[in-house]
Amino acid sequence: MSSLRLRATLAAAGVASLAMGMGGAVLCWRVEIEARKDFASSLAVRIEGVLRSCEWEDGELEFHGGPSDQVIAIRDAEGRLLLGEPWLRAPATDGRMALATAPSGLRVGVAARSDRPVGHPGDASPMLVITVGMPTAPLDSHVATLRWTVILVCTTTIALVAGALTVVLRQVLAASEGLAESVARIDPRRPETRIPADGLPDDLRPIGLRVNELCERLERAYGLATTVHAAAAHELRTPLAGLRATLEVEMAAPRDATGTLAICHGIVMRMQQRVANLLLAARLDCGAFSPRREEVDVLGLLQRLWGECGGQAASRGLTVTWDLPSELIVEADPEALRMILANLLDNAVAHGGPGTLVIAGREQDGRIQITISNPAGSTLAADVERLFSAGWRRGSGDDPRHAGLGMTICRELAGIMDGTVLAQVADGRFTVELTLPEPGSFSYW
Amino acid sequence: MKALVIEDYPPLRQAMVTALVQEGFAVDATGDGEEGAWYAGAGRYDVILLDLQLPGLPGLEVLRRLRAGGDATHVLVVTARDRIEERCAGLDAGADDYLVKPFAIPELLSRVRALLRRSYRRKDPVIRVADLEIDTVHKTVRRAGEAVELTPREWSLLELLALRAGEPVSRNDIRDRIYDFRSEADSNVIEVYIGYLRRKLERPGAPRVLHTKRGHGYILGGPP
Repeated sequence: MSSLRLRATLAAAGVASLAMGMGGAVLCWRVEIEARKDFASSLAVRIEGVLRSCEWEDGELEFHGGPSDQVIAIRDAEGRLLLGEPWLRAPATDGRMALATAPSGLRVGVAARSDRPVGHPGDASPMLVITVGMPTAPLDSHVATLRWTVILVCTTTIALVAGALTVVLRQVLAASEGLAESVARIDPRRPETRIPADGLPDDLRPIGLRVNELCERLERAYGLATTVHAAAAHELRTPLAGLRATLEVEMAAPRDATGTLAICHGIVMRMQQRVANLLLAARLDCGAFSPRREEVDVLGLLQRLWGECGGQAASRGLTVTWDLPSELIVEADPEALRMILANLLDNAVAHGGPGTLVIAGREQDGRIQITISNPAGSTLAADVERLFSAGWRRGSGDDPRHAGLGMTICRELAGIMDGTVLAQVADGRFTVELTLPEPGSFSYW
Repeated sequence: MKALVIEDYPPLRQAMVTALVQEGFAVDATGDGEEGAWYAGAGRYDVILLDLQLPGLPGLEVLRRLRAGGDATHVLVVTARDRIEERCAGLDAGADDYLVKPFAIPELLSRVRALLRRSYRRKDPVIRVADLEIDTVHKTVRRAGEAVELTPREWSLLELLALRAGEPVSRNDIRDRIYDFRSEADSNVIEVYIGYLRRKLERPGAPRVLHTKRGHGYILGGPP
């Protein structure tokens, strides 16, 4: 019995049956009591009639007759039958009605009364017991008719109530059934369907709104996963194609093995950076990254990283200017800081226009600021915040799903270390500012 | 033959250029979409190798501009985008072929050669003109069954003449089709190479295969 509608209908029918059954029984009981009271009243009236129809005539008791459907028995105080049916006896309890059966099998209701009929020749009329019986068949028939009428009315009412409840419940449950169907139509793999929550009753609307919210979150999560997978595929495919093509060209017609190896090494280093980014993004996503806390020499780290990408910068027409004190120490996770700075430098070299790249650092208000500024190239001010979204890559044109993860990772890593990464485009230059705590000033992480 | 490579990843662009040059192509190359669109509009290329994700101007937009301008140059899209709908979008935008990265250089060259044959309405990779046999895949030439050794430049010149065998090819055509933007080729240089080619192809007593039609250009095969 899994259908909510069936359960509700059966419960409603049960409740209606119980209520109507009990009501019917009480009604029958009350009607029968009243009918018996009426019967008893009729008997009392008949007794009164018998009394009035009896008189002493010449010392003899005479009875002038009564309704044909009644039987009487008149006895003296000693119980001797003076008149009427010998089988008819007064009930044991005076004033109460009793049942008796005539020799012919007729069932009668019996009542009796002790009284003195008028016209006795002596000083006083003797006390007589007048017993009257009336057939109970009409009463029984009447009660039976009433009982069946009540049963019929109750049954019909139960059926009508159950039917009406079914209709009402069907209408009430239609909204929840519609909601269930709408939810069932949602494909977990493509959750772009939404439930029309505005059309739902007030008590179901929160469910619809919450399901829609979950679908949106699921869709965003799927979209992000697709984006990241696509980004991973794209970020690795192009350098892989470069590596393969470079090697195949050199193998087909060997010319400059050393130069080819240098190119391939550069490509591999770039791929290594991409793979490290992807792995780190996965670790950050599942909260598996636990930063260490060490003092790191920023200048030394930046110079090492610049050594790895300086060649590419030169080929893109970028020259570097350093503006850092000789000693600039931050408290950070060395590997996380290396990843942040490597990504920032890589972005500057890969996407910046030709010109001067400025790497600067200073201490301010108890924090260390490191800025990397390069010609903005094609980066627009409107692009700046999107740079930090996984799923966006500059120059992606009509296909925004190909995305770099570098800036997203930078911001997340900096946040874990109680730092910030901000970017802006101003006066034709793209500037990224990394702020980290100086040694001893961090709060917690 | 002349190719344009529009690819923003420098190592890959350089490898493609090197492979095409070794194949006998004159090659122009750029990593910027806007610049690529300019090259494509300004030069006369037999084939364009086009990446889709480019700075400056997306590759699909470069392609749409080309086709909207009535340019029928064969375009081979070379991209990391591998989904079916992306391939369809590329081909429907007017690309002639689609190659997903990473790819094998021999496959890239085969596809380029196939596009070239389609450009000149030829199915057979071996072109036969009189008793001259030019194999465009293996880059070999035979005259009456005898192998002829050619330099890359001579090969490019002969391949162009062979693909348009029987019709005159002007000096301007030759300059546009076998020299890249950086090369400075004048009529004299072309004439010198025609002379080299004649010396290697012609045989004493055998009918001439390379003719000069004054005012029109050079014809491989057929009457002058």
